[in-house]
Amino acid sequence: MPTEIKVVLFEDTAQTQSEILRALAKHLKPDGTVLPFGNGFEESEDDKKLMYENRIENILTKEPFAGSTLLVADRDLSKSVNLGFTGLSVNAVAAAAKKLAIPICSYARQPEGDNYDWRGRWEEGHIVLSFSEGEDELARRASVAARGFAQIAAELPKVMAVAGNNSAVKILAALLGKPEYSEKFALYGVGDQNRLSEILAQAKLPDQRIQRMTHFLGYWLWDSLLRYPGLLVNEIAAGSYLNIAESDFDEKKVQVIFEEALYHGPFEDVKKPQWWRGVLDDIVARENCTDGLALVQKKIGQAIRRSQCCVDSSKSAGYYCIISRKPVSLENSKGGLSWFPRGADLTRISNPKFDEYGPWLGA
Amino acid sequence: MSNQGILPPNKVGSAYESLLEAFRAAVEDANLSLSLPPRPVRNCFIQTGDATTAAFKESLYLKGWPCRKLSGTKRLDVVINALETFARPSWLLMKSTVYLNYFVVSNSIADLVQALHYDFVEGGQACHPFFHVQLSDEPIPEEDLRSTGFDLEVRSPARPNQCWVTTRIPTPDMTLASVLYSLVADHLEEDTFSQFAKNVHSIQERLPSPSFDPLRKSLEQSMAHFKSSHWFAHMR
Repeated sequence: MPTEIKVVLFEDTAQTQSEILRALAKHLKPDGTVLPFGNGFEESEDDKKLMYENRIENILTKEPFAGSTLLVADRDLSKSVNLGFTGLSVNAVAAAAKKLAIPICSYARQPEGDNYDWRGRWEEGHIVLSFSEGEDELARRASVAARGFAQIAAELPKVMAVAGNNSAVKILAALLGKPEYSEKFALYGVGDQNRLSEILAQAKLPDQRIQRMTHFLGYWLWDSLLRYPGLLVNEIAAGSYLNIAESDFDEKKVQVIFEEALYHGPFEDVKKPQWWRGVLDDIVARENCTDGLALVQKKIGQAIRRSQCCVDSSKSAGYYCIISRKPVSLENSKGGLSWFPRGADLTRISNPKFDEYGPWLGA
Repeated sequence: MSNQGILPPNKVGSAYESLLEAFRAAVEDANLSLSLPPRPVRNCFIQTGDATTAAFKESLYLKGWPCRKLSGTKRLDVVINALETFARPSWLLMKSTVYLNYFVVSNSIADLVQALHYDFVEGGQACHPFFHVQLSDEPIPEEDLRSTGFDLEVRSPARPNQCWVTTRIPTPDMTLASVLYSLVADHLEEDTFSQFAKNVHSIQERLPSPSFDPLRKSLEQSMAHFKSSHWFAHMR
């Protein structure tokens, strides 16, 4: 596996391509580079007769694209004639990426960021990034993804060489330095058929095994463990779980108390931090407090306020609505939906959102 | 009991979560289903109103639990209601009461055919075996029963106090993990039990265990003697 990060950009509009390339190059420094797809490759006449996904697969296995860490692709490649492929779609790029076990991120300007992000969440198989905050934020998130996959690829050989690390759960737990949380990791695998085909895919060569396992673990981590609060909690879910108001949990002096629980690992994003829920528990219990609020009030003072349920502010929250991305109480939300990982016990959908989208959200 | 939540140390919270997930896996392996209240297991730790203690409160509903004695038109449902109390900040187990109600269900009517509870209190109680089970006709409180999704009409025994004698029978440690262990052994297939026992072995080591020093010392002092006096050693 390459240690240097190589990102390939599929963008069919020259102006946008130039902007994103510049932003990616900035965020990938000093350990990564970005290449635009569409230049510097040669194809035989026979290859040109193949389906697009096979052509792209062949091209990506040769220089200058061989050994790519991540593909970043515009959802709308309708001007792909500029890339030498009339009528290319992101699906063909994603299919080639999947065959080669190269991770892929896609992005689009429309529709609105939030809606797009949500729509994308149901499209397994690639990471969906929002372009609504501009090319710099897009590039920053893409570089977080690229670095995450590169970090997994770099550390996997020594983790997989340990005799006891004989399952995806144990490998990921060891990779993240939390073997004691293996049982909780396993709860994120129960019923997750989206990834079943990948874990069942057998690779013969050691390098292919690392590549496939990197692809599998990276998506599992990004798409499941870091998305659905339970094992890890994002900023809103952490405040809610600890029973601290969102704005108060944002304060530096509050976050310092829980610093020990910060997640440091693949896809760690300083702008979107996550915390280990089990370590938060230990920090609170060690001080013999009932919850995070009691601990923070003991250390800082009574001005810190309790969390508020987004449906009924008279109630404390405790949980996280994955649609509205707000703190929510148990009583005013639904949990345990069939598409939630079983370990995601802090992930809920607020009752108003559930009523709005009910039939599509399942039971 | 306040029902206000409390965050336990990860070791304790994750052990209870793993125990109940292992139990769920055994139940599902037997093609049965386990119903729990909507509150996640790790959030079932509550304040007791006493700053030096905390409790774990959980109810479980087992529907159509295998029972050879019942005819095809009837089924056995079991509801478990557990309350385990810990000292803070040590999180050692001080008290455990696990209620079981057995119902024979026919035509959507649930006849309470057996009720019992397993008891343990740190230091023991006067004239009670240290660990014991007590047979009774005491139903699990309505609110706890319904919280599990149990929606049948309950019919209590025809004659009130039909269970005249509520002898306390000495038992081994029958805290929640042991109760679930015994239920799997009693009712499910041997392969399922073997797998469950294997899965639970390491979890039991992480669960807060009851302190039973007087009983242990009594047994150690006369290993060849396995009689009733041991179960009351805490009174000596």
